[in-house]
Amino acid sequence: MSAYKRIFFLFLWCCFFSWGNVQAESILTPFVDSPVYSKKFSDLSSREQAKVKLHGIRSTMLHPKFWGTLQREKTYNVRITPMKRYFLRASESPTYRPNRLHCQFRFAPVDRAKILKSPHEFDPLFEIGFGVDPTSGKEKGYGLRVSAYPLLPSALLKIENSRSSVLAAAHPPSLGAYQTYTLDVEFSNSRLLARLNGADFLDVPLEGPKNGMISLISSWHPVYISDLEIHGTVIEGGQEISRVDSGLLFQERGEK
Amino acid sequence: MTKFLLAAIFFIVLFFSGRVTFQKYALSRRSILCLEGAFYFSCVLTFGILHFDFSSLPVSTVFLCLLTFLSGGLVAFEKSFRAPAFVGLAVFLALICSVESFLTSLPKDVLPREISSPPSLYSDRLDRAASVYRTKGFRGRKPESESANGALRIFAMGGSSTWGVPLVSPRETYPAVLQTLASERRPGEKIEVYNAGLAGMGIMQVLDSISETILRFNPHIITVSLWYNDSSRQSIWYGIPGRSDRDVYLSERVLKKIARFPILNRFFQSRIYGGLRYLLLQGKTVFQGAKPAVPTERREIAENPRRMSPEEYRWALEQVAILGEKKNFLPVFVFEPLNRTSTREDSLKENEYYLAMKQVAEKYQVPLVDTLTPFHERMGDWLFYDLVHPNPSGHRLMAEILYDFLFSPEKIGPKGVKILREVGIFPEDSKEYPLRK
Repeated sequence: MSAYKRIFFLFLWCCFFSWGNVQAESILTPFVDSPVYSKKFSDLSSREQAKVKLHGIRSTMLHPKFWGTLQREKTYNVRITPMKRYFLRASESPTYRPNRLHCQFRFAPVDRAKILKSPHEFDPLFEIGFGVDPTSGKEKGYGLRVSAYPLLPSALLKIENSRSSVLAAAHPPSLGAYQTYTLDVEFSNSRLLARLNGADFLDVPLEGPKNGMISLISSWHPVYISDLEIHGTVIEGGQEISRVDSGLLFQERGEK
Repeated sequence: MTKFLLAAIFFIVLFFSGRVTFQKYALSRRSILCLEGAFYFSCVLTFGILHFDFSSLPVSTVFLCLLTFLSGGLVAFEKSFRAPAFVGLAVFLALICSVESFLTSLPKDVLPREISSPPSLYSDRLDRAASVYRTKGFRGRKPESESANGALRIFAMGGSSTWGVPLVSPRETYPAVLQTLASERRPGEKIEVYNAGLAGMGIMQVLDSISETILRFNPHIITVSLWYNDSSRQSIWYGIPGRSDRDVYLSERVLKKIARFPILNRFFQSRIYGGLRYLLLQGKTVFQGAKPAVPTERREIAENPRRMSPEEYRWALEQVAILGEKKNFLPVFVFEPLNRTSTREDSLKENEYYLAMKQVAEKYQVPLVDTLTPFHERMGDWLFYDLVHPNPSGHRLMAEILYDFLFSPEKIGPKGVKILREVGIFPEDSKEYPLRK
């Protein structure tokens, strides 16, 4: 066999295998390991810090190794921070089942008068999605809206084709934008139980909240999530393995 | 214009008060005229230094030169002084020519850069949008020819929210989705939708682009959806802080015309002009202190005027409506929605730009698309990436609203129906679209 033919067959072989990889690609944007994620945040240059800040919900940086956005929602990230839905990479596996979510957060301080004057700018709320199927054109799932925005109360939402409808209202419906809260959500097979600062927040019978992906999205108003733990299980090699994910950049690296 | 009038009044008052003062001392007529000339010239110079920003505003320089020539002309108007004035002018011109040739003979690095190569009289500020459209730089679909060839041509004009920032795919933007909806729902009808949005564009650029380039492509409908950029306090398009887009547009348009004369253009490229400008700039710095060309501090930005005040925005919208009547296209105004859109009533109460758009639409009977109500109804959904840029769901909603509006005879109005009928949409005998009389 001549050298040209060998090169040609080698090329074909490469194409075949790379095609196979493309077919198996994730629906989320791939994680490209960069040295900026291995350095301490305070050691990064301002440009590097800005780059790191771009990946995450408003004012909460997420580690791209654990959280990713949809490939079809690829955007230019120059100068603006898009309000995008971030998906937990682990939950992309069809065998992944969330059990419990623990989260500590606070909103940037803002008073009610300011919110009512500029509702487009001061909208303190974020949404934890679960059971999400992000297939294009058939998006569905559930969302737990946690809100200090008087115009949109906290609630459990049903999401279908980017439209949300309220399934159950939470108590209290609106939080304050000044204090830190602890949210605990328990996913069981037939119900969803959420507790805020230890008190009942939401208790709803829900079929199949475990099937689908976990997502996180915040609005333009900054939310600071200081602690995040998502407990779940995944089946690997026929065995059910428990795992705890955070994906908060500082938490993953033990920084404050 | 106000500045010009004020300057003219200032000059006239100085002229007469000066004359009375000099006549008091019973000097000879010639001496009075010489003193007057020198006095007015220095007044004009001081006025110019104090009131105009030469670094970014060549029109002020033109204005100053005009005033200088006027003061010289007034002196030469006196019969007894005419002959010496002409001699003096000739000597002056010869002096200018010799100084210019001397300055030109000097090596470039000897003189400051501002003198050796002064900025051109007319920058291409006004042509930025037009040059994009001239090369058919529309996002996504591009017109095959300038002629519409029997198709209904819709041009969607607006800022970054129309262009589709920060979307990578142009297919997700509302003009592209509108095109898809039209092709799917109205098969057999030739409908072309073009995305003529440009990031950072304001209403003045829309107005200019329509008359300069968009009309070449024979549009039937032009949708105008923008106000957010106009309300900005940062001069992101023309780059001249402290002046509104309309001011810059009107003055630059004059310069554009002046720059067509080669002699004038040559003068403004000369080193003597560069030197004069340099001296004036130095004088200004002495009087007012150095100011950065573009303010970066938040406080400085907050002090800036808006790119277009609501009144100026209203004026520009009126010009678009008038242009539509003259050039036989249908302008359609579209409210540019915001993240978590308020109710229509609240938005109109809070936002003067929305109100201006509504009032102009009513005055000139321009169709107005209410995007506020449908966006408000979906306030709880994620439709935006930030304050003003819609995400694909937001663009989809926008396209649905536009489609329902443009192809509904009751909403688009009689003029719209007439235009659509010309291209075979809404035929006269159609029972599907009965018109209310």
